[in-house]
Amino acid sequence: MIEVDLHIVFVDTGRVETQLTFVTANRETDPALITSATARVVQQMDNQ
Amino acid sequence: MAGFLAGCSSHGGPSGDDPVVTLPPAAVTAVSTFARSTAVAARLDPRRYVYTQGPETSDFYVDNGFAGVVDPTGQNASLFLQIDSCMGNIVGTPSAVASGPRLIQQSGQAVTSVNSQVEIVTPEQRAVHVKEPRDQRLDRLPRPADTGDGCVGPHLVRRPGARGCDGACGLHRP
Repeated sequence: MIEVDLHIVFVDTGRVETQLTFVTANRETDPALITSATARVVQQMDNQ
Repeated sequence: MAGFLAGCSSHGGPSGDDPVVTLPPAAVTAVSTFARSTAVAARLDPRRYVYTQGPETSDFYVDNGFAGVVDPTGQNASLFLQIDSCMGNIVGTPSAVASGPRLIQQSGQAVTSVNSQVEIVTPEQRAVHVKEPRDQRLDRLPRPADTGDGCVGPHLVRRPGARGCDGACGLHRP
Protein backbone atom coordinates (compact mmCIF):
# COMPACT_ATOMS: atom_id res chain seq x y z
CA MET A 1 0.00 0.00 0.00
CA ILE A 2 1.38 3.36 -1.03
CA GLU A 3 -0.17 6.21 0.88
CA VAL A 4 0.14 9.92 0.34
CA ASP A 5 -1.21 11.95 3.24
CA LEU A 6 -1.59 15.69 2.83
CA HIS A 7 -1.71 17.48 6.20
CA ILE A 8 -2.88 21.02 5.67
CA VAL A 9 -2.76 23.37 8.64
CA PHE A 10 -4.14 26.88 8.74
CA VAL A 11 -3.36 29.33 11.48
CA ASP A 12 -6.44 31.32 12.31
CA THR A 13 -5.29 34.87 12.84
CA GLY A 14 -8.42 36.40 11.40
CA ARG A 15 -6.78 36.20 8.02
CA VAL A 16 -5.81 33.11 6.09
CA GLU A 17 -2.22 34.15 6.02
CA THR A 18 -0.26 31.23 7.30
CA GLN A 19 -0.19 27.64 6.35
CA LEU A 20 1.78 24.64 7.36
CA THR A 21 1.77 21.73 5.03
CA PHE A 22 3.15 18.30 5.65
CA VAL A 23 3.24 15.55 3.15
CA THR A 24 3.85 12.03 4.28
CA ALA A 25 4.46 9.29 1.80
CA ASN A 26 6.07 5.96 1.34
CA ARG A 27 9.42 6.05 -0.34
CA GLU A 28 7.96 4.13 -3.28
CA THR A 29 5.53 6.93 -4.00
CA ASP A 30 5.81 8.60 -7.37
CA PRO A 31 7.14 12.10 -6.61
CA ALA A 32 5.08 13.47 -9.47
CA LEU A 33 1.90 12.40 -7.71
CA ILE A 34 2.92 14.21 -4.56
CA THR A 35 3.87 17.33 -6.46
CA SER A 36 0.66 17.39 -8.45
CA ALA A 37 -1.57 16.66 -5.49
CA THR A 38 0.12 19.36 -3.43
CA ALA A 39 -0.21 21.84 -6.26
CA ARG A 40 -3.89 21.05 -6.45
CA VAL A 41 -4.34 21.84 -2.78
CA VAL A 42 -2.81 25.24 -3.44
CA GLN A 43 -5.01 25.73 -6.47
CA GLN A 44 -8.12 24.87 -4.50
CA MET A 45 -7.17 27.36 -1.87
CA ASP A 46 -6.62 30.06 -4.44
CA ASN A 47 -10.08 29.39 -5.79
CA GLN A 48 -11.77 29.95 -2.45
CA MET B 1 -0.57 5.00 7.15
CA ALA B 2 2.26 6.50 5.25
CA GLY B 3 5.69 5.99 6.59
CA PHE B 4 7.39 9.27 7.20
CA LEU B 5 7.23 13.00 7.32
CA ALA B 6 8.44 14.57 4.14
CA GLY B 7 8.55 18.27 4.87
CA CYS B 8 6.91 21.39 6.08
CA SER B 9 6.77 25.10 5.72
CA SER B 10 5.00 28.04 7.18
CA HIS B 11 4.30 31.71 7.44
CA GLY B 12 4.75 34.13 4.67
CA GLY B 13 7.00 32.34 2.24
CA PRO B 14 9.02 29.26 1.49
CA SER B 15 12.18 30.57 3.11
CA GLY B 16 13.07 32.07 6.46
CA ASP B 17 13.11 30.27 9.74
CA ASP B 18 10.62 27.62 8.83
CA PRO B 19 11.47 24.23 10.24
CA VAL B 20 12.52 21.50 7.93
CA VAL B 21 12.49 17.98 9.20
CA THR B 22 15.73 16.15 8.64
CA LEU B 23 15.25 12.67 7.32
CA PRO B 24 17.43 9.75 6.48
CA PRO B 25 18.37 10.28 2.82
CA ALA B 26 16.63 7.16 1.62
CA ALA B 27 13.40 8.22 3.25
CA VAL B 28 12.92 11.48 1.41
CA THR B 29 10.32 11.19 -1.27
CA ALA B 30 9.30 14.79 -1.63
CA VAL B 31 9.22 18.03 0.23
CA SER B 32 6.32 20.35 -0.01
CA THR B 33 6.92 23.94 0.91
CA PHE B 34 4.51 26.70 0.35
CA ALA B 35 2.67 29.39 2.18
CA ARG B 36 -0.18 31.57 1.08
CA SER B 37 -1.59 34.94 1.79
CA THR B 38 -5.20 35.19 0.85
CA ALA B 39 -8.24 37.21 1.63
CA VAL B 40 -9.85 37.65 4.97
CA ALA B 41 -11.78 34.65 6.11
CA ALA B 42 -14.42 35.37 8.67
CA ARG B 43 -14.64 31.73 9.62
CA LEU B 44 -12.35 29.05 8.36
CA ASP B 45 -14.11 25.89 7.32
CA PRO B 46 -11.52 23.11 6.93
CA ARG B 47 -13.81 21.18 4.59
CA ARG B 48 -13.17 23.80 1.94
CA TYR B 49 -9.48 23.00 1.78
CA VAL B 50 -9.27 19.22 1.68
CA TYR B 51 -7.75 17.56 -1.33
CA THR B 52 -10.30 16.52 -3.93
CA GLN B 53 -9.93 14.54 -7.10
CA GLY B 54 -7.81 16.22 -9.72
CA PRO B 55 -6.12 15.40 -13.02
CA GLU B 56 -3.37 13.51 -11.23
CA THR B 57 -5.95 11.24 -9.61
CA SER B 58 -8.57 11.20 -12.33
CA ASP B 59 -8.42 7.42 -12.57
CA PHE B 60 -8.59 6.92 -8.81
CA TYR B 61 -11.67 5.58 -7.05
CA VAL B 62 -13.17 8.13 -4.65
CA ASP B 63 -14.18 6.88 -1.23
CA ASN B 64 -16.10 9.52 0.70
CA GLY B 65 -16.65 7.26 3.68
CA PHE B 66 -14.35 9.20 5.97
CA ALA B 67 -14.69 12.64 4.41
CA GLY B 68 -16.12 15.49 6.42
CA VAL B 69 -15.81 17.19 9.76
CA VAL B 70 -13.64 15.42 12.32
CA ASP B 71 -13.92 15.76 16.08
CA PRO B 72 -10.90 17.96 16.87
CA THR B 73 -10.53 16.29 20.27
CA GLY B 74 -10.19 12.83 18.77
CA GLN B 75 -6.90 11.01 19.12
CA ASN B 76 -6.34 10.90 15.38
CA ALA B 77 -7.70 14.35 14.64
CA SER B 78 -4.32 15.94 14.31
CA LEU B 79 -0.77 14.91 13.65
CA PHE B 80 0.34 17.43 16.24
CA LEU B 81 -2.02 16.29 18.95
CA GLN B 82 -0.05 13.10 19.18
CA ILE B 83 3.31 14.82 19.10
CA ASP B 84 2.16 17.46 21.61
CA SER B 85 1.00 14.79 23.99
CA CYS B 86 4.15 12.76 23.81
CA MET B 87 6.40 15.76 24.22
CA GLY B 88 4.41 17.24 27.08
CA ASN B 89 3.35 20.33 25.18
CA ILE B 90 -0.17 21.13 26.29
CA VAL B 91 -1.49 23.59 23.74
CA GLY B 92 -4.99 22.29 23.18
CA THR B 93 -6.79 20.84 20.24
CA PRO B 94 -7.28 22.40 16.81
CA SER B 95 -10.22 24.73 16.36
CA ALA B 96 -11.59 22.58 13.57
CA VAL B 97 -10.55 19.53 11.58
CA ALA B 98 -11.82 17.92 8.40
CA SER B 99 -10.80 14.92 6.36
CA GLY B 100 -10.95 14.73 2.62
CA PRO B 101 -12.06 11.78 0.55
CA ARG B 102 -9.74 8.84 0.14
CA LEU B 103 -8.64 8.40 -3.44
CA ILE B 104 -7.57 4.89 -4.29
CA GLN B 105 -5.94 3.36 -7.30
CA GLN B 106 -5.24 -0.33 -7.71
CA SER B 107 -2.87 -1.44 -10.41
CA GLY B 108 -2.15 -5.12 -10.18
CA GLN B 109 -0.77 -5.77 -6.72
CA ALA B 110 -0.01 -2.11 -6.12
CA VAL B 111 -2.52 0.05 -4.27
CA THR B 112 -2.06 3.79 -3.97
CA SER B 113 -4.11 5.93 -1.64
CA VAL B 114 -4.17 9.73 -1.45
CA ASN B 115 -5.65 11.24 1.70
CA SER B 116 -5.88 14.72 3.16
CA GLN B 117 -6.63 16.32 6.47
CA VAL B 118 -7.05 20.00 7.22
CA GLU B 119 -6.82 21.55 10.64
CA ILE B 120 -7.24 25.08 11.92
CA VAL B 121 -4.97 26.08 14.78
CA THR B 122 -4.22 29.19 16.80
CA PRO B 123 -1.03 31.23 16.46
CA GLU B 124 0.03 29.95 19.88
CA GLN B 125 -0.35 26.34 18.79
CA ARG B 126 1.57 27.04 15.64
CA ALA B 127 4.41 28.55 17.63
CA VAL B 128 4.79 25.29 19.52
CA HIS B 129 4.34 23.07 16.50
CA VAL B 130 7.06 24.69 14.42
CA LYS B 131 9.55 24.03 17.20
CA GLU B 132 8.69 20.42 17.82
CA PRO B 133 10.43 18.91 14.78
CA ARG B 134 13.68 20.45 16.05
CA ASP B 135 13.34 18.90 19.49
CA GLN B 136 16.11 16.40 19.97
CA ARG B 137 13.77 14.12 21.85
CA LEU B 138 12.03 13.49 18.58
CA ASP B 139 15.02 11.41 17.79
CA ARG B 140 13.99 9.83 14.56
CA LEU B 141 11.17 9.47 12.17
CA PRO B 142 9.76 6.15 11.13
CA ARG B 143 10.67 4.17 8.13
CA PRO B 144 8.17 2.07 6.21
CA ALA B 145 9.22 -1.02 8.10
CA ASP B 146 8.09 0.62 11.32
CA THR B 147 4.49 1.06 10.33
CA GLY B 148 1.84 -1.18 11.73
CA ASP B 149 3.57 -1.67 15.03
CA GLY B 150 0.78 -0.26 17.15
CA CYS B 151 2.39 3.09 17.83
CA VAL B 152 0.22 5.80 19.29
CA GLY B 153 1.25 8.20 16.57
CA PRO B 154 1.35 7.04 12.97
CA HIS B 155 4.49 9.04 12.34
CA LEU B 156 6.33 8.04 15.46
CA VAL B 157 8.02 4.88 16.47
CA ARG B 158 7.79 2.49 19.36
CA ARG B 159 11.07 1.63 20.96
CA PRO B 160 11.52 -2.06 21.57
CA GLY B 161 10.81 -2.86 25.18
CA ALA B 162 9.99 0.71 26.07
CA ARG B 163 7.02 1.55 28.26
CA GLY B 164 4.84 4.59 28.57
CA CYS B 165 4.51 7.57 26.33
CA ASP B 166 8.18 8.02 25.62
CA GLY B 167 8.48 4.55 24.25
CA ALA B 168 5.20 4.59 22.44
CA CYS B 169 6.17 7.77 20.69
CA GLY B 170 9.77 7.05 20.01
CA LEU B 171 10.94 9.89 22.21
CA HIS B 172 13.85 9.83 24.58
CA ARG B 173 14.98 12.08 27.36
CA PRO B 174 18.09 14.10 26.51
